[in-house]
Amino acid sequence: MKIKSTTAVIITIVLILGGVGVTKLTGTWITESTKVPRKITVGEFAGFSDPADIRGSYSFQNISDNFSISTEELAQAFALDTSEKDAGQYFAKDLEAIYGEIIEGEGEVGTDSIKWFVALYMDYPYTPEETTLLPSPALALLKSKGLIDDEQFQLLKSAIISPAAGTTFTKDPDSEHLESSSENRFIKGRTTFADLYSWDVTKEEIEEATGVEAGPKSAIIRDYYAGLELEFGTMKIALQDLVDEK
Amino acid sequence: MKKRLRLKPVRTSIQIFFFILILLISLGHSLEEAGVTIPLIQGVSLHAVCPFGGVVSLYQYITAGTFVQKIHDSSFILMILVFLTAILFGPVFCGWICPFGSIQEWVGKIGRKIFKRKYNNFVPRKIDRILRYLRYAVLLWVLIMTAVSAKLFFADYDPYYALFNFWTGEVAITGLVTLGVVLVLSLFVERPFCKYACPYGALLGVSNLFRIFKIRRNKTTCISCLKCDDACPMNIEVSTAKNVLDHQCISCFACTSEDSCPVPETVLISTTSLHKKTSGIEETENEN
Repeated sequence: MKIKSTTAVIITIVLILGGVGVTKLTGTWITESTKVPRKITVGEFAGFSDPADIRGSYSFQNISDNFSISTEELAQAFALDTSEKDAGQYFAKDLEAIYGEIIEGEGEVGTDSIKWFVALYMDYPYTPEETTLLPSPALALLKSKGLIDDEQFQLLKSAIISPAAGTTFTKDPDSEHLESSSENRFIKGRTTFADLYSWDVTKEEIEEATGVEAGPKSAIIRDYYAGLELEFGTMKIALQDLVDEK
Repeated sequence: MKKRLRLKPVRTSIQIFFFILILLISLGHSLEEAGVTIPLIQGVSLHAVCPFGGVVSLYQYITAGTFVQKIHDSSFILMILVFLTAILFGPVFCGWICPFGSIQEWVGKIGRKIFKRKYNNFVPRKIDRILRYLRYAVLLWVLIMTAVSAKLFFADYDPYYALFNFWTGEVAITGLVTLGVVLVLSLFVERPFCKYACPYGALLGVSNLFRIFKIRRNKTTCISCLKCDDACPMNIEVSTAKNVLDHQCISCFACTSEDSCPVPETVLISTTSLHKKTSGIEETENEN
């Protein structure tokens, strides 16, 4: 059987475009991720959503929908500013751009960090890449919620990066930059006791929450508690709760 | 005398159509992130319409039931459809649809004007024959690395991805360098990436061995003018073959009697051999 070149090409194009059309009609032509991670297939967590399958295109809302973690906790863990952008609107892939330039050469805070954090939060098994880092608030959150024990806490300390002092990471649509959030009432690495007082938190409240004497007004909270050999992350959670109540 | 429909303009039109389609899809995806949508192609990314994405996802799909990151059902569907066309007519996808093959050809037109008959004949035949198998090594490398990493490993090196994404800032420097090298080489060699490095072309090229409709040359009517050889962008010696089974054939059909061959019914597409048995003994095949 002979066939003309043009006929062969027409059959080819009809097959391809027709195939696309038919699959579109039947609903099998899917060009976007369903934002539902695959299930863990083996072990004691079989049947649960697998954090390892979280993609960069997942928003924090998608992650929250699949795992029992609120978008606010995710934003808090990754020190993201939620005053102007809703926590659920951040994407996993945003982290790489937000943190990328700051910690170049030291490791990476990116989608793998989110996978790792979710796995730790859910107590699911996950092995991150060697260069993956977690921001210190993530560790503080896990510790404060009792999701990691002291042994894990000590192990994880080597993979921690502190967000830049006095700043909150936020992604600008036009130019990625760091935006100061001193007036946003978030306790960061450069927050002082004076900042706390200006946010209507009293000295007594601080001492009651932390169990130790409050530092001088000019003292940087992180440095003050480090001097007392107290974990800043734990103190920060307690103090942030006070600030949030105001 | 009945005027023949020349294939070249038809083919160029189809190539332009698919090039623009892919360009629109890629531009549309970029604009979508900025809140602008183009009707019909909304929600479609370049990865979603890449049949090779389906191929590299096969291992993960079989072992874990999921696709490699950024790959979706659509890539799988296209992979199956393109395989079907290859089983029928060989790598017609490469010769008529692939936009990266098209752009190499268009750049090659400049090279042909500059170098005349020397164009596409720079690489010594012995070296060229060996280099033609390099793309199978690339295919193997891409498949293994994608299976190991579960990521679209080749995207960082893929000149096709670089061509349609260079404005996004998402293209790795290695991809941009590969793109630049391929475009420069296209001035000297026709379709250099297809010949020496394309992993998808390597896979589809295998279909030339068993495709249902083969390109066949009728020895009895052939006048050995070698116009079929000159027309072939992949330097296949059609003039010495009974059936073109060369793994490099891209089914552009430029060699056929509908295009470059001046003798009707001499180089054509057929399911059966053009040579009848004589004296009970069929002629020996002389494939490349």
